[in-house]
Amino acid sequence: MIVRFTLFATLLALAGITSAKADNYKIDPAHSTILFKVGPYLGIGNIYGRFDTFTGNFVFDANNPAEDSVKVEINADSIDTNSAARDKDLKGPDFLNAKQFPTATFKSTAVKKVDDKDYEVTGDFTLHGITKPITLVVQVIGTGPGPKGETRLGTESTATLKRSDFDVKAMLPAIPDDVELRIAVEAVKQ
Amino acid sequence: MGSLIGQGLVGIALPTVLALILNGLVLKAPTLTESRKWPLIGLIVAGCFVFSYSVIVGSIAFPPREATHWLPFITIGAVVFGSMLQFTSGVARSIVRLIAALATAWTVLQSQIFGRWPLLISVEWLVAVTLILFATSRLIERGGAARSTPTEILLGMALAAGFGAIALFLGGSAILGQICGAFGLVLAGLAVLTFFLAPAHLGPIIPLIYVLALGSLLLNGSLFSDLPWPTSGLLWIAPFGVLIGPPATPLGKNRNVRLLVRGLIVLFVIGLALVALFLIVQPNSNEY
Repeated sequence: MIVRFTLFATLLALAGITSAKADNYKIDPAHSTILFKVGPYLGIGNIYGRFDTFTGNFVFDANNPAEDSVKVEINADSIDTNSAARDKDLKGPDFLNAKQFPTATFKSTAVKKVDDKDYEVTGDFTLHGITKPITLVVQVIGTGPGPKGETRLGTESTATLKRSDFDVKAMLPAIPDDVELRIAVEAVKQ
Repeated sequence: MGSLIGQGLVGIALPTVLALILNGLVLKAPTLTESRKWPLIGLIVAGCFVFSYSVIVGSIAFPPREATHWLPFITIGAVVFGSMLQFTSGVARSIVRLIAALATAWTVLQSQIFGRWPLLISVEWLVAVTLILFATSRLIERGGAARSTPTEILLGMALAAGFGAIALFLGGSAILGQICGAFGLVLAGLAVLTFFLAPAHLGPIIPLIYVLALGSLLLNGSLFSDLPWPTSGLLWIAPFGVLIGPPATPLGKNRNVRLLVRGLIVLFVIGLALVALFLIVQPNSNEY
């Protein structure tokens, strides 16, 4: 009986140690940015924009990427390209139709560790009501204590997608199909 | 920029010219009775609308995911329901019209309000839009037949759709604006043809296409873009300006003067609609 109890307790402790390695992080929007680049518009110049409102969290274990996961939700209505007129168009039915599709989401399906700093995160990206797989190239910038002693982790990710894949086809090809994403995230360990 | 201009030419000018030629041939055809001509003209107008939509949007989505994706199907449906109206009478006619109005209201509203707004308010919206579409299609068809010539009704519709295009464009949707503009030009071409060829009546098909297509465009503009509701409302009632005054006949006396006066009444209401647009929102010039 004592042997069985000891074995059970040991297994429980081991399980606890294993799960403790994977840390939960919550994205800090004040220290994070979701940027996108479209261009060249009319073959002349690039347009940059960002999404100002988003939330997300991820599970990160540097030694066990199979357990890692990412989930981000972006408010489509928060698009900002430094032109109120253009933003109105982008939120409208010609482009994102933010009233019918108010959120864009990313949910990871696989994380592959390339080296100590670099990862490839594949997941389902939902935009404009359409879900397609995309791969983010993620680089861990650094980790350490924040101003209040909390543990923070910073990453920078890039991806390229075709807007036509998400049925955002207005003004093609004057506004090119390729959209480059650059996502800088700072997250707080929970 | 060249591709945008080319797209505009193919999506707007081509269907306008095509509709003008085909509608002219149908209206001139001596072997066709008027009750056979209008379903054919309805098909041409709807076909040109669908062509214009597919060029401007880039494709026809099936199954439709967004309210705007329903526009080509609504237009084709209007020809089917309009043809049924032409060959039914009494209660059956009202039921056909009600189904057409309800189906259109549902396609536009379901994606926006159901599941997002409280159920009771959603149902109220559905009922209200259905009744407005039902009543206005009945009024423009029957009131128009009793009080106006086909040219006058078509002029009113063409002006409302044409200026509706400008309102939609300034209200934040270049695509809806272009589609509406193409529709307005097709109706304008038909108005010109009926002025010279003077058919005895307009029938129910064209008014139903107009009510359901423009109704969907304006609803989409106000629900998903920044087209103010007062502007939509005033554009909606503008064509009824052609019903003001004593009844008219296609070849009656002073028909040009009457056409001009009634056109000006329509334009006055449209002017109010555009004033409302400029007062309520800062119009989007689409230049950035």
